[in-house]
Amino acid sequence: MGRNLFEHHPILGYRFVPGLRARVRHEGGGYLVRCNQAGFRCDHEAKRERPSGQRRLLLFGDSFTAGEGVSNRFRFGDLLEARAPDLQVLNFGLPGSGTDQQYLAYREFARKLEADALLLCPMVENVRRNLDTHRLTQSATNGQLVLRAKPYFTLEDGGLQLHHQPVPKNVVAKSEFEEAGHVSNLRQVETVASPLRTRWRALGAELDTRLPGVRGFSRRLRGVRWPMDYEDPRSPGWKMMAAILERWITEAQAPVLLAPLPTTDHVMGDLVAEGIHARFAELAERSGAQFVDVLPALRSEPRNVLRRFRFAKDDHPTRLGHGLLAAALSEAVAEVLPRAKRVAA
Amino acid sequence: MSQRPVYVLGISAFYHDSAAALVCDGQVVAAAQEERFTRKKHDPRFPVHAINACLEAAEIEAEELAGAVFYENPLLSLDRILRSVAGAGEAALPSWLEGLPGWLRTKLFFEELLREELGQEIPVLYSEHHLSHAASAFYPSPYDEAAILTIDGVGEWATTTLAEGDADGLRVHQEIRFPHSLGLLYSAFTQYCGFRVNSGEYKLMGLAPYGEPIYAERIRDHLIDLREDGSYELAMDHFAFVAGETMTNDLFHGLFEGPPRERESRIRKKDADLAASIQAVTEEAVLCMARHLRKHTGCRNLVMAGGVALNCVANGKLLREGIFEKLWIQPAAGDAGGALGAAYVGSHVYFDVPRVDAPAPGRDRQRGSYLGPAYSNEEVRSFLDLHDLPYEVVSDDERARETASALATGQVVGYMVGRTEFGPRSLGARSILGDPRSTETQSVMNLKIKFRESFRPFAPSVLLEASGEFFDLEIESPYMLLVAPVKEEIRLPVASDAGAEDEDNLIAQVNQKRSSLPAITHVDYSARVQTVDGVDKPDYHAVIREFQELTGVGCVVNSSFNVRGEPMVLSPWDAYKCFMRTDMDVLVVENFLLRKTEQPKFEDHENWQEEYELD
Repeated sequence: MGRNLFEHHPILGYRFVPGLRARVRHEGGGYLVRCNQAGFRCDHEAKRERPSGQRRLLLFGDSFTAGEGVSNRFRFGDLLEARAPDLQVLNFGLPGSGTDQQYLAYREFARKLEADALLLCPMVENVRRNLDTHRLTQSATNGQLVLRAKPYFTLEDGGLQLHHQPVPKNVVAKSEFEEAGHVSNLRQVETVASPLRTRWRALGAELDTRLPGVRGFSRRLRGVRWPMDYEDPRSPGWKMMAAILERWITEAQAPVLLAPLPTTDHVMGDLVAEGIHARFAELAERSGAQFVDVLPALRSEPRNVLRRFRFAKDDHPTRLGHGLLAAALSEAVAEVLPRAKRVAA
Repeated sequence: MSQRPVYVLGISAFYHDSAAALVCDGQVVAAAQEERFTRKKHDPRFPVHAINACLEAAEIEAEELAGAVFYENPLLSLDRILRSVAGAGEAALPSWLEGLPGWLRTKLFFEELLREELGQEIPVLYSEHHLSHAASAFYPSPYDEAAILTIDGVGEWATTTLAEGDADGLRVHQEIRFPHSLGLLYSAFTQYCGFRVNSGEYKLMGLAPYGEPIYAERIRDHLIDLREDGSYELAMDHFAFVAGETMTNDLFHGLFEGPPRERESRIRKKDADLAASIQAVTEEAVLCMARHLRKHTGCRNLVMAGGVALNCVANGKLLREGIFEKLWIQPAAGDAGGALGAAYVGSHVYFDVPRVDAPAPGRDRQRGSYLGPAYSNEEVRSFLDLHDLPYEVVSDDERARETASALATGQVVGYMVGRTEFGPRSLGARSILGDPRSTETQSVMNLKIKFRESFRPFAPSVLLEASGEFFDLEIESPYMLLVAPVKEEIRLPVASDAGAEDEDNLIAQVNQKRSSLPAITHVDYSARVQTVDGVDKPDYHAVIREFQELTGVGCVVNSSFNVRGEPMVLSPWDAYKCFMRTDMDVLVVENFLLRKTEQPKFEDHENWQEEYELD
């Protein structure tokens, strides 16, 4: 058993163990995790005042933003910071989280911090997590997958109602869980882990090795769209995500950049991203946030580069992937920060 | 212009006690044994977790490694194996055919395994088994120059090496080669007496004082031709280890008038006598080699490594003989320590990094051997809070006081503070502590906490400054590798008929109170001493000092924090499980104190008494 990276948190469900220093084994060769005292994977402490002479960007998202698979300094947030000597990026990325938990992280830990801009990076898959009341996670003591509660919102009379506060600590038995009719990623995990799916994935990987690009080409030909939640603005997944983001953007004390992060299949052009683009653009328009579409910049890279955007088995971006994301975001970040200074002035 | 630090990773694996060690610019940064992570004692597998722990401690990326060094040369080992098989004939074939494919898959593909684990191409080097041991003994030692003695079962070919180290590096002067091996001779008796090879040797040593060396002459006459210069040859017709897994054969059994003792059966007087006999012969051999080495090298200092260097009774004799003025023994003297040696070989021999200065005159460079992972207070708190376990938060001073106070009232304390030990001995970072004044401590700790054989003695941790009050020990013994006599002044007379009615009844002998510190006084009035100073382990020193304040005795019982067959605990969860499964009263984890009486009912889903294979 490795070190336990997370601890229970009554508001968010969990967070990184504050002050953690760890190295995680990974197919990419392993990576270093360094956390601040607030329990986020960030080299800076989340102090209220921004450092003198520096601009500050607050960054939110899931494991893509937290940088699963790469060490802190290779993540796109840290790379954005490295590009601008007077910029401090506070990373509030929370692996496995939905937009709901990311918003709660803002409310609980970041709302009172001085900031020049917020960069919200919901990973496009997070749209489903917002509907989950529980998540299948790894037990700290024996490594088994167990169901734990998470905070979640419901839409009631057009407003957001928060549940599971404080978030219960206990592990939920599968039988008890199914009886109660909770929603979780259990079925998703079980499906992914099923022997048939495993075999199917192995065949797919084999096909990718022998005939690279064939599967992607097939998807492109068929115009596969995914996640489907973005195709209909009235879908429960999108309605929930949009409601959370709108409230978040309204409450924010600084300009907000809304930069949804695509999957590698979207980056490669194997999945259609029009629905995603449309939904986030509409949301940004009505909420006053600035929509940053990273796909055009990413897709301008050669395909042989994009193939290395993610790890072979793990979906998360490699160092190269983070580098491309940072490059894709840097212009928008550079543009919003001086404006923020003027606003502050 | 500042130069990049030279990080060298050493790895030992695929035999027993896999480990990794990391040296930076000639200074050890981290070292860890794989068993602590996998919870499989003596785990021989490629040490992925230990490697991870080393890079974690240094907070470096894999590409920052200048190189990685394997602790032995697999091709030379293969040469020895193939020749042995050829020499042993058909009888050896089945066991080698069974083992060889696995061996080939691992050892010969070390580079591939490493590349897969680190995701990087880094330069890979190969040391030699006994060179790694020699480096692990010399480079971290306090000495600028020293004679080096390494003795173990077998490496590639060498089983015993006499060498020398100084500013010019390491020079091997003489070696004894397989199949002639003092380590394997000791292991043969270990197995014959019903203990497990590669782990039971320590038990055999502990059993020796209960017996008389009545078989020593027979061993010298029939099993080993020991010469004055310490060189030796085994009478191979009495051994079976060349051909397979069994150490001894019918000729050996005939020599000692019976088959091997069944494991876990009652220990007889004969087993104790055999233990005493092989111990005597081993000590004689070690002393002969040391005398020869002193004469040959002229060095005043001796350093040692290899599994036989863990024989602290022999080490104590060697010290008292005064052949060398000073003696230092690598605390991870077994194969795990080979990882550290390999890292030193890479660092000093290949990358030409100069040796670092000792932290102070006379002090070694091993950092107390507290080289493994540690857990922060935040990590401990998050674990305890998640499970709603009742605890008290204590300051460093309170921790020392509360621990000492519990010990002084006869309670047994599980103590887990700081970086874990590298090597087989608990040195106060992962220890079970008890009151040495109590007659019950030994039996309670053996039978209700450790669940192990009742004859096995416990060791004392004593304040360095108070060591002379209790033990005849002139030097520091920070790694519990020296056995010293208990002072005459604190000894008590023993009834001469103790156990006389049944000579196989070791319990009667164990239960005799032999000194004012009965829990740590062995049957021969000896003790395996750990001296504790305030430099390498101030928290532990503070506990013993508080105990001294309360009781007048600056000494506690120190046993490894585990149950029989279990590797030493590593994480807070390991410690809590062990605490709840046994009769320990108090658990200290960093700055948290847990009392057994306040803990919720422990629902143990694992059949833990079968979880760990008995050693």
